[in-house]
Amino acid sequence: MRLTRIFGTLLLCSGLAVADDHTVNSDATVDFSTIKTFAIRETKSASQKYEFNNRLFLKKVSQIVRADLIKKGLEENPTPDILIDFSISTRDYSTVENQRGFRVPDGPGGQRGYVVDGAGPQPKLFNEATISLDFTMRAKNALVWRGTYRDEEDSVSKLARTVPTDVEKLLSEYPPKKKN
Amino acid sequence: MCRIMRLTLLALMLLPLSLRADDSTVDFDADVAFSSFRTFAIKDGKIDSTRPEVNNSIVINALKKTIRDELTVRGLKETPDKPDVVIQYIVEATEYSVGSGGRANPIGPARGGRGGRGDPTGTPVDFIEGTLVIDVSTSQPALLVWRGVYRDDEKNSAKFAQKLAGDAKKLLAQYPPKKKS
Repeated sequence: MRLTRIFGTLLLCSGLAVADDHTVNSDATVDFSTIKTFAIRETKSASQKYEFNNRLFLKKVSQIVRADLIKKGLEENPTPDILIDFSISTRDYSTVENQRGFRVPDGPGGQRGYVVDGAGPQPKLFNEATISLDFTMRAKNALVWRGTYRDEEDSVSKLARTVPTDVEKLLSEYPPKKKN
Repeated sequence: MCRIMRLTLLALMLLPLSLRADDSTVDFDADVAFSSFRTFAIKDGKIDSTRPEVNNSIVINALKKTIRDELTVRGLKETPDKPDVVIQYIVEATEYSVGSGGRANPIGPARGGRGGRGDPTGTPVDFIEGTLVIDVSTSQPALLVWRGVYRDDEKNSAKFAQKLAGDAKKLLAQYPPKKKS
């Protein structure tokens, strides 16, 4: 049982990503229910990663934004109420990790346990993407909603898989809930 | 079962942390009818490595042959004149040296924000981050319609060079993209 627990924890840790965080800011003076139309103005990648510096990725993001807002009852229009801008940037990090030693307990049938020595310090590389989604009121040229998502993963490929979901998570917070 | 768990546990502990598992990403334009593409041409790609074991015609020709074979098996025909799609590849190998404190530092000019470390000739290489990109673009108009990126961390450039053709095969196994039902 104990072995199963250690095994499970290690398996989880082996693929563990660093925690994500996100922030949404909105203009409390704006009545978001009056916003009926949108247009995607700019999708921009400041990343040099091949997964993100191409039209296919930016097109995918546009499709996610479009589908989400249409589902929420907004219409795409060339002279819209809000203009939407998306941007992404990435950074690479190198940190150091130490692994603690531990003892694998005795198994059934007389199998003897053993001690696994600790290891390290060893390098750990990870990648971070920062995505930003801006909603600007066209008439006033004023930013009324901004969602920022910071996602850290231990490979760029994983980031490429999670960023579209991150965009969806940000959009799930639009429109902002009215405070009573 | 218990034995399998013990062995897996041991294997996990022995895995060098610095070497990440191979991973790949494929992106494509869902509005493009890939079945309409019948011909292709391979353009000379970019090899971003000064290592002779990566940047040499034998490795490049083996990579091109794999691309050619994989597309031919899928019914496409190579033609130099007005191909439906143009294939381009990029190969990058960033070398890292692990310092006494355990930190991995890229060797040579700084890349991707991790900072550089100066003299590329005097620093031992502990591992490399290898990247293979295969792009499929329409020729008229020139538009990227499919991109595969394969990331392969290896102990050294020679190992990466040996695996390049195999990495290309794994990427192209995902071409053409499957239609979503």
